[in-house]
Amino acid sequence: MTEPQVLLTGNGITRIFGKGNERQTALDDVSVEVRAGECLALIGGSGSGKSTLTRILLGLDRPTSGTVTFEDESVDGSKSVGYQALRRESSLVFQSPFTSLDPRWTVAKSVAEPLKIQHKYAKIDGSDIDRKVHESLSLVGLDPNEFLSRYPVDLSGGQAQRVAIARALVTDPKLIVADEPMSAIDVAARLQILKAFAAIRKSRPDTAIIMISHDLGVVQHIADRIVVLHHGKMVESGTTDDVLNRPKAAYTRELVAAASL
Amino acid sequence: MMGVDVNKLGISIGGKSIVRDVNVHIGDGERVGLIGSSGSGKSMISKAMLGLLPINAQTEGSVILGDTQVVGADETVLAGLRGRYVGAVFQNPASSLNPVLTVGKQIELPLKLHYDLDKADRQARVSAMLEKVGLDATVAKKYPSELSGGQQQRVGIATALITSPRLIIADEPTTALDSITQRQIVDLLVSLVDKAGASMLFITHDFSVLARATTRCYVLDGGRIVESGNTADLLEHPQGEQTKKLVAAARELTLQRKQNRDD
Repeated sequence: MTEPQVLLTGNGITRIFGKGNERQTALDDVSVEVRAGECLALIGGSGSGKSTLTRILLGLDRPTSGTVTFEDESVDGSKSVGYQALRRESSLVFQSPFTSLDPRWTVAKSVAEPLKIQHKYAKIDGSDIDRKVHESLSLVGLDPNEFLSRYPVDLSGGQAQRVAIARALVTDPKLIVADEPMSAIDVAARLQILKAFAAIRKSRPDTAIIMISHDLGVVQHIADRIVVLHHGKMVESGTTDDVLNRPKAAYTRELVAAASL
Repeated sequence: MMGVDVNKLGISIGGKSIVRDVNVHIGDGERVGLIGSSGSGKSMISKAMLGLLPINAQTEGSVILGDTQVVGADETVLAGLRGRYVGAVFQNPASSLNPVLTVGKQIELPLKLHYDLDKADRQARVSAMLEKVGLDATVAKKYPSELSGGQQQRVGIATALITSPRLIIADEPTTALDSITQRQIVDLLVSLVDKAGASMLFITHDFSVLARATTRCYVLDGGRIVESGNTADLLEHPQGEQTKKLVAAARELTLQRKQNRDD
């Protein structure tokens, strides 16, 4: 069996903020690789550099040194081929669904929006939009008949986050990046979000997911591989089984111990 | 000494009932949990205890802290209570701390408001408090934005505890933190509250945190208490549907490792 295609890579990523005495190294020589269809978890506490790494991997920030490629094309500024492909083929899910959904828009309008602005779908017609919106909502476990006409204010946190996931999914991206998608959601609703991601993985086997989280209890169910960041350094990376059951780095061990009851 | 008795508390806002017929008792020196999904009314109950309900809230029943009836109490009575006898630790330290006050000034403020101490005495107490919450003395000169989330929450705890309150209300104090920091903050809070002999109401939606922080708890669903009891028992043998659901979710989301189970 051939290994799935490498989708996104970050090589030797270093990011330094500030100058002179104020210099802070947010990321120090971090390399990651995401393959089609896999779910990679980026784990670390606050200040570990996971958000900085994510921004760089998405081309939203530039590394001080190191390179990013998407489908073998360099992601280097908004004109670059890699950047443009990455924009077309990636979607984001944010931490707080209530600030990432427009409060004045219905669920139907929010989920359909990416199809209307994405060049890839420039020629899509109304009935196809409706079909794809229905499909996305169903996949995340929301009955379109019940939810299409609702506004964010009429959704629970878990439902709102699933709407945001449906919106990320609707353009059939090759990559979904979820930045702490469960930390603002209560425990019972987190399971529903996990289910939604599991359903995506099953029905879109080529879609890669990067899940950023500080919560090992959450990522144990969804990630194939885990990268652990601590103070800007990659302290561990491996399969979910290895990292959770045979952690090598001291920090990972501490993290694992704290997350187990 | 300060126990808490919440009797038949009802809260409604704009005609919509938020909390109904809630009875909660916290004994002297007891650590009690209040758990429920978001929207179940947890924070409204803690706000009622602090006399911080929205102005258009209609309340019935009573909340008695020590011998003071808080529901409907005069603002001057409440002001004498809050920060002096009742300390609060909130979910998001970044927004509950004053961004333009240094950490030292922040922690000193409740002392200034509630005690008649000279400056040297106040500063000595602030230094001692910083040490108790595990922060370096140099942190006193820093602003909240210069601290990590865990450090900010330590400042929040120091500010709540500086006046030696008899009751601590901790409303989701660890939800915004990573799991290592979460555990450190819970353990810190528990040890400080116990050492001071204070009581604590700990609000959370997370059963693993609840188990570490409390000995007894109440489960809230749709504004009503649906179950209560010893926290460990309740985790082992949940009775009601909502409790079973919450416990199952908490189990599922606790890290399952191949070998260990060392609680």
